[in-house]
Amino acid sequence: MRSFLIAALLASPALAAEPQGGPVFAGFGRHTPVEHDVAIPKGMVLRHVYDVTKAAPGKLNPGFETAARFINSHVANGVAERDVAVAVVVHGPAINELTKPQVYAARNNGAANASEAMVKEMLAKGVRFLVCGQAANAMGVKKADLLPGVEMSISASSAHAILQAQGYTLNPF
Amino acid sequence: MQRFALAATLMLMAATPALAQSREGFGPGPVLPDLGPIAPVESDLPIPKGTKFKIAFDLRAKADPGTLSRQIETAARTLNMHVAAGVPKEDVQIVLIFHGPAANDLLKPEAYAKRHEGKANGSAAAVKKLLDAGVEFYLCGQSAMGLKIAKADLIPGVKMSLSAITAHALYQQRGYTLNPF
Repeated sequence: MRSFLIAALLASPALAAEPQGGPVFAGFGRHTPVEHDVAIPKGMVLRHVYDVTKAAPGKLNPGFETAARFINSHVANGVAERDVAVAVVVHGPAINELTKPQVYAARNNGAANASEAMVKEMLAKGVRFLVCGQAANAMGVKKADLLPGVEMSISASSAHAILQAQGYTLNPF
Repeated sequence: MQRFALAATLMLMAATPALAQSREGFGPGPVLPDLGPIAPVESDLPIPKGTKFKIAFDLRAKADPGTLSRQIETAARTLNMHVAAGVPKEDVQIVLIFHGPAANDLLKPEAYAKRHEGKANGSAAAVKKLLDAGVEFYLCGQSAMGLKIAKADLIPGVKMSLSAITAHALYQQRGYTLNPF
């Protein structure tokens, strides 16, 4: 039986579990159900921080979406939504994708920010986006240019140091 | 005007990375005025009173001969901007952990020149200033061996650790947070 399963898995990668949306974000951050061996202790609060620099013009920013996937996959696996706190520290070109529509358009030849709706939905669910104030200054982005709810920090290093000291774990990729 | 300034800034940035020090909106910091210029920020992320920053940086990329390592400058900026934001200098503790090619940026002038066709180590002055300001520098002993760098080749004050992994593990156990870039 077991060898049959292994043979079936090897033969047909298409049979792999399909990524699914939700339960927190339906339209992005799809995750794959996993028979996992790493137990999540009951009552554990997950505080996790991502570092994102790359912009993704015309697409959902994959760095932001990974943070949404973290929430979807853990809530789907029984962690209470309020027990998953996620922060995204943003420096470099990805800062563009946290700007208001008119600011984004002015900076990108009239184009629309493909990540805007996702960012707004994530903010509404309590995801924190923290912009590096040093990078923003170099790019000419002001606080008023950012989508409401996006936070400005002194620097990305500063935000990482503060969040880690507050118990956030750093995602290493 | 704002758009013009922005375009000008972007053009300047694209055209002349060497002018980074005089970027518009950036000024000298209080600890190391000629290193790591800082921009004032209306921050939404308050620094709780009494916060003691302990930050470890990981450096692997080597700067081009004659130029200042961007990551070394980031460490200087980190010191400048937190002190500018009101954190006492002694409460911003920084360690830089070097491995791989970045080890070259820690070499004394003569050791650097020997390995780089007589060129100058563009980071040497910054390393000395940061050491004087209390920033710690460690070189991965395994990388040093691989690169045939002896302790005597290093700028005085730079320390050697068994490995970069060892230094990271020990400093994280001591409560240092790891900067991810």
